[in-house]
Amino acid sequence: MIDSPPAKSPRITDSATVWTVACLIMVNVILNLTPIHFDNLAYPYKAWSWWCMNDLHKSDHSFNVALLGSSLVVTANSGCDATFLNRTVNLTKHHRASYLDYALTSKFGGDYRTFNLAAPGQMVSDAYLSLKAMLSMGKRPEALVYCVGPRDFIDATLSSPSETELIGYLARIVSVAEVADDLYVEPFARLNWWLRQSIPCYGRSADFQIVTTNTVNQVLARLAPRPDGGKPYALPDRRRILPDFNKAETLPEISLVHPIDPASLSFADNSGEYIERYGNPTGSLYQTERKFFDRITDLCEQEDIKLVVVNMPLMAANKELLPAAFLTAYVSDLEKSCTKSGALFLDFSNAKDFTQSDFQDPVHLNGIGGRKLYDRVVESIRSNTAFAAKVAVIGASSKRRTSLAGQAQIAH
Amino acid sequence: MLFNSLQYLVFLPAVLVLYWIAPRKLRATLLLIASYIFYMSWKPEYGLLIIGLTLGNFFLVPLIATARTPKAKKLRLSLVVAANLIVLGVFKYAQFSLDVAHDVTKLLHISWREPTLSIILPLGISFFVFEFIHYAVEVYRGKPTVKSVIDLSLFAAFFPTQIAGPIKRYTDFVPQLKVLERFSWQNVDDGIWLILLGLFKKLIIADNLAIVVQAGYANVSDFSGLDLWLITYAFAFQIFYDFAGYTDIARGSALLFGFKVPINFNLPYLAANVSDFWHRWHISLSTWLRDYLYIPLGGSRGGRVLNYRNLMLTMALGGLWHGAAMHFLIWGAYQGLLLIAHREYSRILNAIKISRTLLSSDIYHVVSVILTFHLVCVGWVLFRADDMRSATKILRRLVVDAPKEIFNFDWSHLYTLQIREPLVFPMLSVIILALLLAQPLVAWASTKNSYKNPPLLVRVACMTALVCLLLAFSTNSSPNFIYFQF
Repeated sequence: MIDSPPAKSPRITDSATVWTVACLIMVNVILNLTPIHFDNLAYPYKAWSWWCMNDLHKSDHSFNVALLGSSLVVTANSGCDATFLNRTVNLTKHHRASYLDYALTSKFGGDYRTFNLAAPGQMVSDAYLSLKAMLSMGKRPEALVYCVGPRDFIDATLSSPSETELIGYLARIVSVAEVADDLYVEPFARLNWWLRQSIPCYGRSADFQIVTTNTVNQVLARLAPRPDGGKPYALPDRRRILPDFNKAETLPEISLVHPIDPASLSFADNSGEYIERYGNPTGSLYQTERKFFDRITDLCEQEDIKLVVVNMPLMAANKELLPAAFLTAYVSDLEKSCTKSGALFLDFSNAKDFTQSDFQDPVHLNGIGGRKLYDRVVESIRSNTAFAAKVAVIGASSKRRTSLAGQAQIAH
Repeated sequence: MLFNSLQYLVFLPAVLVLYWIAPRKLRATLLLIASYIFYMSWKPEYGLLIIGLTLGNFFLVPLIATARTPKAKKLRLSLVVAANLIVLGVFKYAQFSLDVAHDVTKLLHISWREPTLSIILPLGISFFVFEFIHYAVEVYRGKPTVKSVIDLSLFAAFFPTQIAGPIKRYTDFVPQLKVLERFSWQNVDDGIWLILLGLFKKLIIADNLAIVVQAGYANVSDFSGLDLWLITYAFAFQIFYDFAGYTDIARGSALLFGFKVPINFNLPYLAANVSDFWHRWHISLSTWLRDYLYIPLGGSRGGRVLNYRNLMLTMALGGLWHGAAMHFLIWGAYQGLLLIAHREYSRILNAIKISRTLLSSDIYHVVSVILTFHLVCVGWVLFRADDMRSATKILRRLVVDAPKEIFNFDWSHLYTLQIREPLVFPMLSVIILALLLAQPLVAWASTKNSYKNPPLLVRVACMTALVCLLLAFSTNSSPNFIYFQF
């Protein structure tokens, strides 16, 4: 084996690659130093968390209660509220828990305003970041109701918490540096996150794409508007023609929940989905999500937020998909964490008064079940004298503030 | 491991550093280990396939050279080629053969239960099997055998070209292992430039066009005939930039290690006839088909009929090489027909002694290029459609509906203008026009020295802009390179 004759190789200082690397460093340093304002709340498409966080950001109200959880609470709350308010509820705009507010006010007096941060598919890590986002907007709730189920801790289809759709958006709003080790478990996911932090060109790619799309769309609207008389292109067409485009986008017209008609309740068996999801209940994801649960309890303790953790009712058909020993350990773990941080733990997983008519499938409560759930939650809080007193204070102080603000407005 | 993945972004520099700091004697071995890691990162067990094939060819091909009689030589060659083809056939064509057998026996009213084989096609098998066949045939023709198992293994497994070519010639590649290049900043610059250019072609052009093509070909009835022409043009450029992008990255990666691998494309859409197109498109495959299929079949010897039979067989089998499906076979046969038609056309022109001035005029050339491009596009419909039924449906819309729409033109006929997101839909006409104009522009520019050897400042500016564009505008989930499936 021999070497080729020496090629006429330029020196390192003549190398375009070396100069390109230098230029890229310079561009990124300049981008870092230049105060370009990007709207962190913007996103290339409007997913569930986009609607939720933008609504929270724009809202003038102060919220003294926050609600967290996955689709377990989303279905329960939306059906319950639509029925309670007796109107169709648009979930892209309705981020309240009106019946919960009503139940709390009825029981404790005062004024309760709940902001609903729950989102379909919300894992505990997503819930933690949602709460942090709320705090970072200066909208600290005084109480938090967190409704959990085993599915919020385990998902065999995910290899790390960073794979949920929600994280992509929430990581724009709050810094995830302190939890990066747990969020980005896969080495390449971690590297990708690090690159996004270190290279503004890359980290801000979503912003560049938003700006470009908006600008081009404005130009197109002037130069090439949609031709009249053409075949209309509506949402169902988009879903059919471009099924993968902005798949997680939530649009107002498909997020409507109607009041429940008890005569036409339906029930579907979704066990297939959960057999897959519960594939590896004690895997590393469970341990990671447990850490995030502890972070939530710690954060609430640190911020003096009264935390109520509700272990949601599930039908036997769903619980049977998990090992009994796992379920026992899971409940015990949650209880320990809550006790340690002074949170109230309510375990409804074996509650006998939730029957099939309260569920829309073995996992999700319907609106009737949702109402029953909130009644049970409020009743359980009331039966815990010490905790009830704290919750009552929250309602009372909020009412006082509201009336003072009202008086000030009249005086003004 | 995909070229457009973060894994490759880590893998390539790591191997590169190790390669250049390793003692010269160990470099080929190191590259071989890296190539097997690259291959096995997808399915470790398939590493055994490439290793087995390599060892098989390493020990069997020299037996061709040592055969005493021409007959024995031929027999041994046939056995080696057959062994390679059987491996390819089992992995790639077993299910297809069963399907065809089932359909044929069904026509004869013989019913039997067709088994479903769950065979996953090993990545790159079509490419490295063709490289082994080339090796065996060349040894049969009198070229020397490869003495080092490392060299032959690396020839087949070399990671930049392992999955989708270009299909290398051992007579070009193995000597490069004997005379290893010294580290050169020139190679690094040229290699990085090719990689960036390839990523741009793949991530910015091909991946965006892929969205329109997927939507159009899966929902034919939603789009007008004119839309479908635009979408077919989009596919013509998608497949070109996807594959040319892959080839650029492959060539660039190889160059970083000092290896030169052949080009695969030479502005194919500027071809003035179909024969010219095949001299410019997937060059490493078309020359392979010429050398190891067309010529052994008899080539142009033996008269017109035999020549056309050979052309047709070569192209049809070339079509089938792309995929085990009827529409690929028909696409290949269509290319064969076009080549035959072109030969007949040229013969007639010669016979009637048409004015040479007309044939060499610019207008004739431009019309020929446009016509050839459209004939190729019709072929792409057969290539891209899911099956023959949808291909026929699309072709009917292109040929029957589109002309009517042109005569009654109204912008509202373009459904692509109704769709505002992603932006590639409303911008499609502009993008296609830009890509069409880019072809002669690149052809013109490539004759200029300032394009081939731009000043350092220009090159740095272009490379920096490319990286920034790639970082800011690549999609998060880029689809696989089209040629990975072959």
